[in-house]
Amino acid sequence: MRHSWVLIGVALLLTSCGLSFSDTAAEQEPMLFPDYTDITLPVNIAPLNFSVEGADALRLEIEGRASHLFKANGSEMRFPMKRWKQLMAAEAGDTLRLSLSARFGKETVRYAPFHWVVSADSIDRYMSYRLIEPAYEVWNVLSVEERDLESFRTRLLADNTRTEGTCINCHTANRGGQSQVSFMHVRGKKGGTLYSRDGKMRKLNTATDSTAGAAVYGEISADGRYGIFTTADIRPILHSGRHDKLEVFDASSDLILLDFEAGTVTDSPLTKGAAFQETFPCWSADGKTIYFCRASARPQPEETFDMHYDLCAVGFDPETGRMGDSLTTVVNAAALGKSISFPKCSPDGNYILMTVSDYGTFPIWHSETDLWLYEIATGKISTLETINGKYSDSYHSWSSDGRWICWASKRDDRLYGRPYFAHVSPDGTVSKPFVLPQKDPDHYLMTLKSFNIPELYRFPESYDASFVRDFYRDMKAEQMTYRP
Amino acid sequence: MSLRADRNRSILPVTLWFVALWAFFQFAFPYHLALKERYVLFLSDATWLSTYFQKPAPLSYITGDWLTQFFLIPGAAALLVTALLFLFWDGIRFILKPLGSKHPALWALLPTAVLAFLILFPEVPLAVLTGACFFAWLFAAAVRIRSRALRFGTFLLLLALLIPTARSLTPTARLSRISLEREYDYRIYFNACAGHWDRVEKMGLRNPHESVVTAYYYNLSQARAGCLPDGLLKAYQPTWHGLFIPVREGVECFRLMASADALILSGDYAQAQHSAMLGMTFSPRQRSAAMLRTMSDIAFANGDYDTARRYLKMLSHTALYKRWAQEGLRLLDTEAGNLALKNDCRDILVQHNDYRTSLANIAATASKGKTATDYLLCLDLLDKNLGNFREDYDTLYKGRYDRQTVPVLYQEALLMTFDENTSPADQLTEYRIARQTLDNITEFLKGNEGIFRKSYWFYYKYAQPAR
Repeated sequence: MRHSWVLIGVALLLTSCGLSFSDTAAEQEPMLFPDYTDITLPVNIAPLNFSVEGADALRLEIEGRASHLFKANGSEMRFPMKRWKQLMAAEAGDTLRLSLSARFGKETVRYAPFHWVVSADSIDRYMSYRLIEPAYEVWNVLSVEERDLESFRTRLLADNTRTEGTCINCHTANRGGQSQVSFMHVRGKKGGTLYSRDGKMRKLNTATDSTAGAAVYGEISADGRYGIFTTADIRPILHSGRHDKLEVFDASSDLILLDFEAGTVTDSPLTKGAAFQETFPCWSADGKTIYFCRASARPQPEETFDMHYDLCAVGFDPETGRMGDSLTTVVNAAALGKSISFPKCSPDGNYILMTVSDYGTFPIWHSETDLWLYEIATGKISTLETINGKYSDSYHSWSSDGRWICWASKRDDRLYGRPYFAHVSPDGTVSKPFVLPQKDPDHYLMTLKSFNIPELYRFPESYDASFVRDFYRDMKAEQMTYRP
Repeated sequence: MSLRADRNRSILPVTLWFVALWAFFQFAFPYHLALKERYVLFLSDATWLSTYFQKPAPLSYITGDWLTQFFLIPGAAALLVTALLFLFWDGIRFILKPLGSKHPALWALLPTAVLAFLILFPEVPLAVLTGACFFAWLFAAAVRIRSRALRFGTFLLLLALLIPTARSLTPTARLSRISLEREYDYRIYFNACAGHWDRVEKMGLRNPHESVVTAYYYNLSQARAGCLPDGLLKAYQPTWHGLFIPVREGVECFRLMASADALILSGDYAQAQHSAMLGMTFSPRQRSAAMLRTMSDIAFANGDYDTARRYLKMLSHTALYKRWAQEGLRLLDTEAGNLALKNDCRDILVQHNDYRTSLANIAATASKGKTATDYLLCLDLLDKNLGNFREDYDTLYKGRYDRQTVPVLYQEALLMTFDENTSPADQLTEYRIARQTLDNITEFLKGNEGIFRKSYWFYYKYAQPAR
């Protein structure tokens, strides 16, 4: 008799804790937020915490090489870090079957099972992104953060409240390089391009009397010596219609090549002048080709809707630091009625991932903007239907081994960008994307900041926001000189 | 003298002080306080609350923001602020007594006066007061610690906490002026937000400070009633600045927020969203429940239901916008397919603050373009640009909206644009000019201008550029 009371007591205790689940027959599609169903995830990613709206308790059974059971009291499944790491390590390379049940009051719902493929391809451990209100062309408070993708740790790399409210943008690393080199633009009176190499920072004034302005969008070569940038004169303008909000066009734009070792800026007659607009340059994996976007100049904003940027290429000789003397059109986007932006070459040299929109050169506000994958050897274009969302997908970056891509997607609400990841197989197959995991799974629902320009890299940056503040305030920018 | 004895002696002046403070807040500057609500977004949600702990002074901000959301309730702001000042005073009184002050109750009034002044600035968060209360009471408790070493250590600890808290509570946004003119502006703004358009009209007609914002809301009240041209010159007009509030660098947040209202009404949802977004971005802490609501409205008008849902879900965690947000979510769940799009104009590219281009596009291409047309024509007239007015009238108004009586304002302006080489009678008929208007202009030209002070002719002749 006494034992019965103990058993009843234990049962009551368990019920009151919300962890008991009675069987139900119905199986529904899982309604977890973020959507982490049927994805491929890197073995070293932080726990994919999720929530089920309104649930009182959750129970997740994971079947792989072994069985794993996770329970949560409440609507959020937050995986303990240690157990998550063990799970990932034990199941690397395996496909997991996940069975989720949720209790809502007295009712238990068992969801249809879903899968996780735990890829043995690790993702670069660090990612930077800019946090900014999606307030079109102006900003108030913005910051650049570094996120450790193996945990939930973040670190502030720059914060414009410490740099007189200036714009800070484009933190970019030399993916694929042996040692990490990166740059970031800090605008304003005391600003410049911050160039970080081997733990040393330089502040560079890249504007010269012979070029159209300071460096804007661009990339660093894998060895870190060269930078290829555009000098865009950027003009924002509003859409009056209901679908798109903001258009940004370049009143003029040319390419400039920076030699960080020599401290020089150079250009080429092929990629400057008023007849064409050139923008979004990037390096090929071997550093011997520069890809960029180019369109015939038209009066803007009157003809912005007719601006179609092709993907072009020009050779580059790393020995002389000179661009080649012929230019080729790689993808004739105008013929497709499209416009290409942000080409980024995969570190294995096989692909170019690019943003494609209907027109213009600022696709992040275009709802039709998608990512396309161009295979360099065959010229085949994949429209990547697996990964493109309802709204803008743009600002992408490759991992240093080329097996992962991340980008800013506004798929959830049109306005706020969130960093998404997808696995890229050697044959170019791209898996279903998943959003950057957060410790609090509802983080994305409760933030008014947009994640902008996500960038993957391998090693933590050697500086932080306090260093950038001091550097901005105290260090005079090195003037780069023009080399004809 | 004991604290109790001191309090008893000071009870009358202290009571009078706090009653006077309450009356000052309640009757002189209630809307300066109410405006704080516009700069706050407080969500009863663990995720949201956790964001407060990423910066110093989380408890001050949490309590401050939680209380501020109730400032929308009439009378609540003055009552809450006075109550917090009283709590602060009580804490200071407790600190001063052990320090040897003879009249701690009276001396403690001094810092309350400073805080009472500070808190009037709309950009100063209520967290300043709640934080002051916390620290006053923590110090009050600390001075009562008997062990000298422990007391000293506690003091040091509190000071170490106080410095980052004070830094965090210092507003970074530029402070607005405190004035009766601003109070009038804020009052008309809140009346408009509450839908009290009859009061807005009356306030706009008075406009004692000749304020641009008051004129702006008066015009909005007229446009809402479909009689913008009829009412336009009955009230003070700071040229065209009373129609739209330009969004420029350095414009104070309140104006950014207000600037969305006329844009929404005229159907310019693109610029309205721009204004609302900037209103929130440039609010003191980049948070505003009111702007979230405005952006939800705009998202509905644009058919951006995913965007609307995101904002509504956030607002469903607020105390006072909750019911509205839940109704919006219900609409999205049940009737999203049937909701009418308000923004159906042709997509063109427009510079922000280029109202003419934008209004002309809406007037020409939107299915409901009457308000935009009136705004456009009034913009031309207040800008004294009769050439533009005539062109816009001929292309956008004539033949569409002039089948009923043409507003007197338009008649008066049209008379000034008539072609000398065309028969006057034909033009009068074509433009439906009333006999009375013709008689009036004859009188006006004879020099009897005084009786036509509300006419367009008088405005055209005498109106000066706005301050």
